[in-house]
Amino acid sequence: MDEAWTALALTLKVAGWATALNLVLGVGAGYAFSRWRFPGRDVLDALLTLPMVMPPTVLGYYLLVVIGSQGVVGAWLLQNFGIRLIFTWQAAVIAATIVAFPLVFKAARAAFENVDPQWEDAARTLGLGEWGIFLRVSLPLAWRGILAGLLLAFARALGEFGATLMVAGSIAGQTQTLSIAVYEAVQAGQDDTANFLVMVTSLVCLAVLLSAGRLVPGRVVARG
Amino acid sequence: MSIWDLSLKKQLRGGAGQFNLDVAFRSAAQRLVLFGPSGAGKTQTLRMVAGITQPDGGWVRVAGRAFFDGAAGLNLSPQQRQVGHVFQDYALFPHLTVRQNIAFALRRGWRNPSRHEPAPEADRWIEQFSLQDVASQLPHQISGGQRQRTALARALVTRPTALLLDEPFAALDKALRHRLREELLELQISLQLPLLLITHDEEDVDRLAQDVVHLDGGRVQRDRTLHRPATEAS
Repeated sequence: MDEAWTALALTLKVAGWATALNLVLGVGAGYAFSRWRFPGRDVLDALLTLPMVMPPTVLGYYLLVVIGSQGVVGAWLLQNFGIRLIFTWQAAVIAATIVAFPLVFKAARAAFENVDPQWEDAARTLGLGEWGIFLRVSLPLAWRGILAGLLLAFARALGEFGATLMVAGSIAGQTQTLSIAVYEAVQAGQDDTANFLVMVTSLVCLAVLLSAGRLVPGRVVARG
Repeated sequence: MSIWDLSLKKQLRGGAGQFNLDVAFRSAAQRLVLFGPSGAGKTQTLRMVAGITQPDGGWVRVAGRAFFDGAAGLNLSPQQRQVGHVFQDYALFPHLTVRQNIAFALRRGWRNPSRHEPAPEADRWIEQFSLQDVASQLPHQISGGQRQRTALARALVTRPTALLLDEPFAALDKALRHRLREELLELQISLQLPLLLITHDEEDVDRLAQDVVHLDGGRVQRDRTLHRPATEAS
């Protein structure tokens, strides 16, 4: 069972990092899309949403092309810094971040679109700078919707399998996350381990979804 | 010397198609009222004075300061204009208490004022507008009149150089409207603050205006002066 706890700890670490990265990336992109029109917006929107609909193995393949030892970024990192990303838990974080990104992006964008620009205008006439407006007006008013998106992203990152397996592999204790450990246990005929892993995964996912469900209703704030 | 000196050209696109706003007026009145039906372009004019919307051309000068000059390429941000703006539905921050709303501009930086942070300037206005009892409540918990006073206090706390009001009494019942109108008049007289108010209510014109600009269809209607001539009266 020790292996199961190691896998759980690793999975939580990977999902935690992926969620934290998406807090910055997804919220930033969601805000940009809710406030500004720019050329190529629709195409970029589709590209950013793609990880939600594409098979994770396809994403994993793209990632290999980019961060693999022969990949564009991967070769550069290896040559200049001696960093080998592939088959590390950091590679699992990258895979999970990309797969879960659209969930935060979509939620943040919808939440920011619900914030009346008039409040931001009011803050402007009161002399507040743009960063202050974002942190003191837009973000607090969109926060519940963003939080719900972050929880969904966390759950999605917990269950990531395909892309993670391709770029991080399945090294027990290093890159073997819960979902991959389940697969390995079943393949090896270790039914007890598989049962235990499945129970743990289901409970964690259920807990996340229940908290997300509580945050979504009553998101709209009364106007004042 | 004129306090308000505006010439605004703006092409607006909306649900009803294109709308060409072309408004120019000058007035030496401290209390100037922009009067006209809804859809006349009053709110857009006010937004261009505040700097929220940028005109396509023309100029905005208020109390001797140039805010915008299309020909000279000058366009001050709303922050630089230091003009108080009371929005039509008040636009109070729904996540902040009445006191936090009023103290909002007193605190710079990335954090909102906390609920119990000392803010003597905010408390002075809370007292002046009798908002002590509702100071720790959220905007949706208080009455329309209290909201209007909160919005006014929030704008005045910045010590603005002029005050813009967008239909400030439209959301209130008749008795309250009358009382708050008198309060605003007293306040303006005591502060001697240039005030630009937009309305479609003739009573606002009667009671508050030293000068009226009649707006309709995005143009100033010079032949339709109301009760007072739109001259450079003081």
